Amino acid sequence: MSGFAEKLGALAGGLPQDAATPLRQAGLAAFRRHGLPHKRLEDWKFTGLGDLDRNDWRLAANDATPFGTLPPDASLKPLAEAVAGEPGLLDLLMPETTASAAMAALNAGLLRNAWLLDIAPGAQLSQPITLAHRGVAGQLENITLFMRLGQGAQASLLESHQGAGWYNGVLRLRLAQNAVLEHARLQTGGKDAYHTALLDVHLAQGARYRHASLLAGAGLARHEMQVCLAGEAAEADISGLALPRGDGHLDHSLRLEHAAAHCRSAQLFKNAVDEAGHAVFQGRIRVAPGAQRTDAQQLCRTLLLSDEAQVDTKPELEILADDVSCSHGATVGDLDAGMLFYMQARGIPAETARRLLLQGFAEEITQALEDDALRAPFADAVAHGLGSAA
Amino acid sequence: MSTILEIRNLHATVDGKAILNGIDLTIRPGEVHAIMGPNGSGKSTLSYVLSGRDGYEVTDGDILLDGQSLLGLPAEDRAREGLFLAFQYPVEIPGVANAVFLRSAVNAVRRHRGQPELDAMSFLKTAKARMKQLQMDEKFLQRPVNVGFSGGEKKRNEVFQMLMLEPRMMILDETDSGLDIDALKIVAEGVNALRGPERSALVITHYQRLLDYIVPDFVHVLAKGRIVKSGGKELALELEAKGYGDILGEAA
Repeated sequence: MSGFAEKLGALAGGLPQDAATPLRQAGLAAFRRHGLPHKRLEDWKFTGLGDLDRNDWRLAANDATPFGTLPPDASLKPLAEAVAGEPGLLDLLMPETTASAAMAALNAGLLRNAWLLDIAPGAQLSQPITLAHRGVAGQLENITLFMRLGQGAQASLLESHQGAGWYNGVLRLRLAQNAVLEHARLQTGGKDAYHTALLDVHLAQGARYRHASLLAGAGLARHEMQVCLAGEAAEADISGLALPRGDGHLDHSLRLEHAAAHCRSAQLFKNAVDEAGHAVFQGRIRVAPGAQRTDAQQLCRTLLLSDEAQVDTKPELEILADDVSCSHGATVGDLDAGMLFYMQARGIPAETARRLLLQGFAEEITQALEDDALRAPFADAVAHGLGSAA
Repeated sequence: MSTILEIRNLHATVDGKAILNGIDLTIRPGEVHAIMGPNGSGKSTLSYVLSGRDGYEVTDGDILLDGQSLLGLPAEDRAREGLFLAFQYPVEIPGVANAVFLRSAVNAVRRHRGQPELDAMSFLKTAKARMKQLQMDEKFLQRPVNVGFSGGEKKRNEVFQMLMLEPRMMILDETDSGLDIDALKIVAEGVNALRGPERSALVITHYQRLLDYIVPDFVHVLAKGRIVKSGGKELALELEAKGYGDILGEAA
């Protein structure tokens, strides 16, 4: 058992007894068994969390909802209260008990700042829902969110993570039939911040989900995504941009499952790694037996901008249906010398040319967002992330 | 008499291979010179050597712009000193809008000249006027640099940049390739509009056609990295009529 797991008793001591207690018990038991994930686990091959052991953490005593002002079509309640009224939720929220899912187990084990947000069927939200967290040094912020979009509902979600400390979060999204969600996620924490997050998305028939993630801060961040296209004709566009610098370690890990026929998914991940930064992209696509006419594409492009910069990419395809169109690709390179020369031949200073090319590289991820209200803050955060690098 | 560009005994190598073998050329203010030559004669290498591309090594000789040696200056400084290369193959830059790219360039040049930078409004005003002159759609300002442009649109975009940057020395590398006759005329009008007593041009071309519209004062024939024959504009017509074989035969 790791040192961290030994300290857990103290962390978990002050937690309430309520309808969510079975989740806490199951989560703590699983986490105690496995401890912090380490590089000997296949899913964590490139990212170990051993550093977390070396710090003393206190659980943030913050029970305020991370959501901003909500529209009338959205209803928010504490998760324990929701579970009390709808016991079936327990099954949906129960963490996996494998070693590689230990962080989600820990999240369940320390469940306290936890919320259920329901968007009414057919709702068309005109403003994005905002979800903001700013961490404090020395504190573990453990947030658990469950968000459901009713049939045909359409919404945008702007999620942001800043500050210091350690964030360990789980966000589960359930999109009912034909629901549409566009989700931008900005992680721009300070260089001492740790960030471990699980995003779990489940799409019913005809549901459409669009996600763009920016990892542009934190000493160590892992944004783990699992997306299940569970109903026919569901669509998922998942993209991410990681900008590690200093000795930052930024990890996008995605498991995407085509469980139903006639679904489409596209993954586009980009890394621009500078100084002694380290980027990780793991992308697994599984096409279940019977998921015919699946269209699943994956592309990861990386720029290594210094001699010390590192990237690890691991694409995995498991295709158990025969009528599918799947592709994956990965490229690693430096900024294009021809483009740099072209800009310099117009008088643009080399540093400016580099910055413009990096912005151009990032632009494709920004443009993946369709909602202006998400794209503008995403573009600002990208510009800031690249600017601080120069 | 003053000169804008002076090339003295220029020798250059690419990957250790000698491509330019002693070029001498003097271009005075207001003059338009054409360099013609068969494929592989060193035309494009000359344009890259002049503009300062990495990998093109000058092994002997000198290049002077307004009496100042350009050797040792990076490409960006040469551009700010007033050298402009219109590329044979303009580069596509995904994700960077034409307007952002060009405004960065214009302001870099203006700062160098001690002029105030153009704000977004005055930049757009000037840019739109120049585009009109070249019959370019304004939508090209917001599109990524050269991405998805046709061959003709790319060349027009080169001349557009040139009109915006108002260089002292224009170098046009095969600007006619890929252009139909109408586009060729528009591009030539753009270049001619810039002609004046304080500005010179070096037009590099394989074919005589462009020189019907940008009429040169002098024509030089390049072969195996050297100028083997020089003359007036009639030399271009002679080349067109006889082909390179005869001229090179005479010169040998």
